[in-house]
Amino acid sequence: VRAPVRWAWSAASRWLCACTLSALTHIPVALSQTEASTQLAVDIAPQPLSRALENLAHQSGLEVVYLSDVIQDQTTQGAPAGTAARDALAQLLDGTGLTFRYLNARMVRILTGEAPLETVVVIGTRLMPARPAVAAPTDAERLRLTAFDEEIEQRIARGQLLYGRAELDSYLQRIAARLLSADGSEAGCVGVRVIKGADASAFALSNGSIYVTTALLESLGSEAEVAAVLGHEITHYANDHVLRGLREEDRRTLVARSASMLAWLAVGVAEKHAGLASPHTTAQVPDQVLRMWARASMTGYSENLEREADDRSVRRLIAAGYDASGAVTALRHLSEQVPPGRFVNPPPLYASHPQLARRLSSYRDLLAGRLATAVAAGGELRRSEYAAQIAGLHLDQVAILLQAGDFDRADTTLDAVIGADSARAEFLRGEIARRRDPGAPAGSARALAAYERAVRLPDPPAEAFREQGYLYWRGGDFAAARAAFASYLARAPQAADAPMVRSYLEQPPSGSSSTKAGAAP
Amino acid sequence: MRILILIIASAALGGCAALSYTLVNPGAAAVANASMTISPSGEWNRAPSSAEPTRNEENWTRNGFMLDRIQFVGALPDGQALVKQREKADRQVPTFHPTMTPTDLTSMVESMYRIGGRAKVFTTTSVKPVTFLGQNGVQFDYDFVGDDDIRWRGRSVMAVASGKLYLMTLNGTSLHYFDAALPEFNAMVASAAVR
Repeated sequence: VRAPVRWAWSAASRWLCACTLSALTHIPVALSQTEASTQLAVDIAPQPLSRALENLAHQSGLEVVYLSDVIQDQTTQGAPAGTAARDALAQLLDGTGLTFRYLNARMVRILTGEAPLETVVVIGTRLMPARPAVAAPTDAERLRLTAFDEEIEQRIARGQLLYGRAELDSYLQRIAARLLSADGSEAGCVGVRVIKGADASAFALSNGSIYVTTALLESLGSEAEVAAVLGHEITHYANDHVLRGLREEDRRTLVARSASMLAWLAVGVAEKHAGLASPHTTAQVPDQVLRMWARASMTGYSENLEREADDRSVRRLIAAGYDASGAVTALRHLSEQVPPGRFVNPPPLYASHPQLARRLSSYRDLLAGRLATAVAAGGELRRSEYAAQIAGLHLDQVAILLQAGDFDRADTTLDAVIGADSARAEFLRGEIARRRDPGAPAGSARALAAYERAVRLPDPPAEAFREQGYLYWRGGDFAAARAAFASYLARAPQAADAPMVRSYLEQPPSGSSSTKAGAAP
Repeated sequence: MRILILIIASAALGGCAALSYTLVNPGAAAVANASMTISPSGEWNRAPSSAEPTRNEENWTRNGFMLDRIQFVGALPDGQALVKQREKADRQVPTFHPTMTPTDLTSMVESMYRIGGRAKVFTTTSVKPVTFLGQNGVQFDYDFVGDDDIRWRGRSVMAVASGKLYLMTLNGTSLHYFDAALPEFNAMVASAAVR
């Protein structure tokens, strides 16, 4: 443990006298009891230690943090399924020269073997550092920021992207207010809203609007995790990151222009020297260069600003009484969502940051180092409250992915929905099977089976009857098709495709000789 | 030698024709790799064949593709998609099968706009039975907002004949151009025949 460490007891009491704590060993023994009972579901194979620890975190929910120089190229012999998380961790570290210590019930720190069980001197001070001094925007900058905000918000409106569940927006707003109270900021200075999205993302505008996508909420598991994301975005807003990003962009553009001018001048000089100078060779800045820089600047904030947002978000999380493990878990969950090498579009958002792994490492460093003692008090995860708030969102996300044509992720998301035995879930299962390869016999059979299950459950979607009808018709079961079509029209008489469905019912009772499987009767 | 020069010149001229827009005059015209004939009543501009994404497709415009477009897809065989897509893309437009239901066909067209065309909003306004090329077909009306935030309206008319898909689509900006072209488009649909 490196001392002195800056920390605070709570948001209400940010100032502390100097005090001493005994080594952290006493706190975690009792706290660790809950985690010790979590057992590995599958074996962790012999492999590099860092990957094995990821696996342990994935299986047990126990977040493992360490300073980045502690774990390098060590390997582990693994641990078998059925081992308690605490014992599994001991087995993974066996022979590596490393030890571990619980920071709180859900977070454990890896230490080098020779680390002494020292007495830690804690110097009480502000957990939340003062905001960096940023020169107020000029009129021109204010105009650009406003124009940027308006453009984004108009695009959200025109694209009908708002998810539109007011109670979910309010819930997220309450979390933001709790985080803002950490440094006495006004609760209403940011406004959080959920937008529909196939990819996990969040972003803040300079006017205080924060948007999080349904995919992001769907991939997180607790209120502490979403608080970590919101804390990150609040910092982008509160610490003027958009303005600072804009200024960085201007500097880069200037550098690009200068570099480009120098390059063109060099070419001109070389050509002149070689007697090749043409009257058309001028020191112009190619538009392409400027556009390239502008684009680069929009692929996210600079690493410094991202680091600052990570640092402040963890501090805010702790000060607001959340368990800091939420920050690591959130990033771990998001990195599990993004396939390696995939760059999510649009870019300037939380989960799309190309260096998720590096940021995960940065969080671990922070929690195992400067904030190690601050996390000892633990805090709330609020898993059940979060689960209750996003209960209806999972199936909506399946529908969003289905609409986006991402059948694999729609399938995976649906499989992960707990208790996905509702009529809507079965209908979506049928839709995935049908749309994956429309018209193919195997997919159609799976789809029909799912639609049949859907219509037997309470409150089935009308479309389940329609699809059932089409598939029965194609299979030559005209009586069953008619019954299904009639059920559809009874439930959705004004549907946009009601005339199409009605045309099937207007066919002779035995179907039609011209009706082979396909488009229309 | 003269013959050789003549052949090269002809080939070059032919190439030029394939690279530029051509005027379509009123009267019968073969479209979509000569798989269909239709009879426009006015003049249209045919996009160069080199610009078409697949050999089964042909596109016409009257006022420019930013304002209106008629798309012809002729004789699309089983297992092919309406758009050219990357094999390993995680979001694919479904491929055509002759056994597709009306919902399969309309969702395939919707996917073409959502995935291939990056439509942000896509709304189905009507799905009706229609006779097209002498077959029972589907008339699919919709509107959508593209990446450029412009609202478009569209009508796709499609039918399966001899196991192949035939499709005609009119897209126009919802302000003026869709409505302006719709009567002529409907007349073209009525005049369409498989070659």
